Amino acid sequence: MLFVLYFSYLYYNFLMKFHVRNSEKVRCVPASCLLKTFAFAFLFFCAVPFAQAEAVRVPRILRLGMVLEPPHLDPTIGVAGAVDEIVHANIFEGLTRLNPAGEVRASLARSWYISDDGLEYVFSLRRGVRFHDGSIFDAHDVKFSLDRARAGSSVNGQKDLFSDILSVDVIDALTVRVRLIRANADFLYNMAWGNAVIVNPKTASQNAFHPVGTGPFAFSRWVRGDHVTLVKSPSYQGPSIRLDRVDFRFIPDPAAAFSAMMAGDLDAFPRFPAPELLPRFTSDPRFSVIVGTTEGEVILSINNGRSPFRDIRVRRAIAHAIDRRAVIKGAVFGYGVPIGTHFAPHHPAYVDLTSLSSYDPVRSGFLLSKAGFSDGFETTLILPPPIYARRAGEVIAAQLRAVGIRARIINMEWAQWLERVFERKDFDLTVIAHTEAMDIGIYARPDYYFQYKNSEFQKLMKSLKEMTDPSRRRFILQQAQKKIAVDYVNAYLFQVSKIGVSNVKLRGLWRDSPLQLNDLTSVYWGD
Amino acid sequence: MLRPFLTPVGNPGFRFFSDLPLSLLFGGVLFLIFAFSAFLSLFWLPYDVTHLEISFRFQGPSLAHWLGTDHFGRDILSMLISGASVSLGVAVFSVFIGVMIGVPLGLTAAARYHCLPDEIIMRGSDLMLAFPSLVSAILITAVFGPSVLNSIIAIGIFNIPVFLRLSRAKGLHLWESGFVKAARMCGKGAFRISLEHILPNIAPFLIIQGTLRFSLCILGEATLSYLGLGAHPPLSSWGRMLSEAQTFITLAPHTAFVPGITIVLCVLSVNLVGEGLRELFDSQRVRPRS
Repeated sequence: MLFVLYFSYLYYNFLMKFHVRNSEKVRCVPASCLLKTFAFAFLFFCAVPFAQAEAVRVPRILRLGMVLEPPHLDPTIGVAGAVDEIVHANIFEGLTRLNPAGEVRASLARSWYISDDGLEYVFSLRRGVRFHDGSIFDAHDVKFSLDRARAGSSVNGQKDLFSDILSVDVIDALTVRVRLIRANADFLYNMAWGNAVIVNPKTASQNAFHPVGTGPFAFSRWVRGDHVTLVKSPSYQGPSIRLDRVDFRFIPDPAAAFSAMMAGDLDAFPRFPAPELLPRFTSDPRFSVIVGTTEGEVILSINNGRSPFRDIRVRRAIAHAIDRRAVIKGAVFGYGVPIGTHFAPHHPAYVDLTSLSSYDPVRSGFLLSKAGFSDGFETTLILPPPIYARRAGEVIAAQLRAVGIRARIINMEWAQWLERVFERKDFDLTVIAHTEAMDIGIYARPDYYFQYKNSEFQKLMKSLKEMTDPSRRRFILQQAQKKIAVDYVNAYLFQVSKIGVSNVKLRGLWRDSPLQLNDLTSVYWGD
Repeated sequence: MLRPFLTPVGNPGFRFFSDLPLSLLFGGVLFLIFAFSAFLSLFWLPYDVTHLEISFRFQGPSLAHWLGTDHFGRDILSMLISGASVSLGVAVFSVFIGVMIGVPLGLTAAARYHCLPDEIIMRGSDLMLAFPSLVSAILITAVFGPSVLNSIIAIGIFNIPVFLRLSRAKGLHLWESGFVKAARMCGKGAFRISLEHILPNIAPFLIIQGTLRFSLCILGEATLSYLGLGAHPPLSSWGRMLSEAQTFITLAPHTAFVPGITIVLCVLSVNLVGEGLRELFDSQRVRPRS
């Protein structure tokens, strides 16, 4: 208020100066009186709204930065991870949810009962939950959502999550029974995914552009190419939410993201795209840098169905030719953990197998000559657009060249990469992060793009699915990790670190990323 | 007969160095440095640009690395030198495409003024000019995949209408002159007149236009490779060096400044040469000769 008055005073002086200059010419005293009166009246009305605004509580706003803008906002269609980063746990909720450590917790389901054979799950649902459009959430919505996701015509990006469901039955308004075809130890975990959120049958078809869920935040507006705004939902009855509004802003350019943070235009960037700029944030007291883990394994995918990569000696030669330390340093400036198999190092069942594919160019050359390529060979290395892939690709190409494998780099856009590498399997080598959690099962899919066809591994995955005993499961998972490591299916590079930058006063952001989401239910502004 | 078109006409006491325009001298020397380094890179480089030494990254200028090292520890000077061959190579060939296709078409159009061939050629060139050249070049390289050859084609085809219109406009002017009329009366055909009388007389204009387009092509190549649509790694290119250095600009400013300034100097040198040539031709009052 004092400021407003002070500026009013300055502004008044300014006006008077102007007036004096004019009045010397005209020499008209009444006009000057009139001007004074007007000036005062004007200033008074200017000051009033400011004074009022100060009396009202300042809205607690959070502005988050994201690299990619999602194509739509419906997490139950398609595979775009950027959708989940906005809506999952904020707008939409599932039956279960994950806590920051990646453990399953209750969400829309208050509690559940599992039959002894593991084939029947009875969920009792939270009472009094409402969708953002006012309609009441009940068991029919659960049945609708799960049936919709697993239907033949479903366009859900992760239909595998629902493939074991035999039937979903409504017992009463707040009780649902799910029957499974076979016991699936991951079922509760699967229900925590963004693809398994519960939607409202009335509004499900409009969720792509106007999502309506049960979560703590309701969709407000989407300015294409700029930001999505969520506001606190008045009907939410869970733990108290300490933010009134959240803006997700899309900034694809790392340099622009850096300046936006530095200028204070953003409060946090949960997945900051340029690790090379982190030293600037760590040395600045306004920011805190949070380095956590993700489920993203960066690998050099090898087309196992194409010669010369059918020969395990060639694949092994590639693995030994790569110096992971240099790749991690060059691609993500050290923010990565070396892996020797397709598994997240923070997982309890992880086995460190990096020694199987240690950096050993001499051995690599020896293996190549035994495979009949003593002069090396020509191949191609396709790189998708993310900066980690482009940089890692250049480092790897240089390392392969040192042992005689001359890889020509081809940079591709996403659509091209998906079409040519992922769909048509027309590639030799590529660098990519597999960001889904617990995705070692992809090696059991013979038609998957790297074309690893091994019946032994497929049997392992089958027995894993049916196994509910935790220690036996752990053993099978370790067997599976070893199997793909000794078969040198792909060259396993590193686990991506989640690098978050935030305002130092902001509390409650997740350090790790067990799923691709930004859970804002516990975020608040501290002092 | 073709006579050398640079014969001094109005200035018999022409001495080579003292009468050369300053801009031509300065630009020429600068450009020769670039051309020489492009040529040199085919045989020898101070450091291997495909060899990465990540522990030596972001070094400032030193005796070992005159312009420092980049984010993979590569020597920036070596990358600039090898990038020169890509930049200048693309520029030379794309101007070459423009001249080799545009000039014959323009001469044909001039010779067949207001007849069907002229109409077809000119409407075709209007059509090409209607496309924004850079956007279309981006489209072409994105569709056919980024490579040096594709960027030559993408940049080169938009040089065609430029040379086409220039040679037609200047050619039309010459077709009305006395010596061409005399040649026609002697029974010379349109083909020989175009080749023996028109072409030598429009050559100075073509050379000036060629140098101006050359600098635009260098910029075009840098733009394409900045957008990731030009030369592929491990080939180095100035535009890509610039785009890669973008996020390091606060960390190691020299990685961005050095390629940026190199592009500026190279374009400047070519423009100075073009300006100087124009001055030279003007000062000698190049006139149509029979």
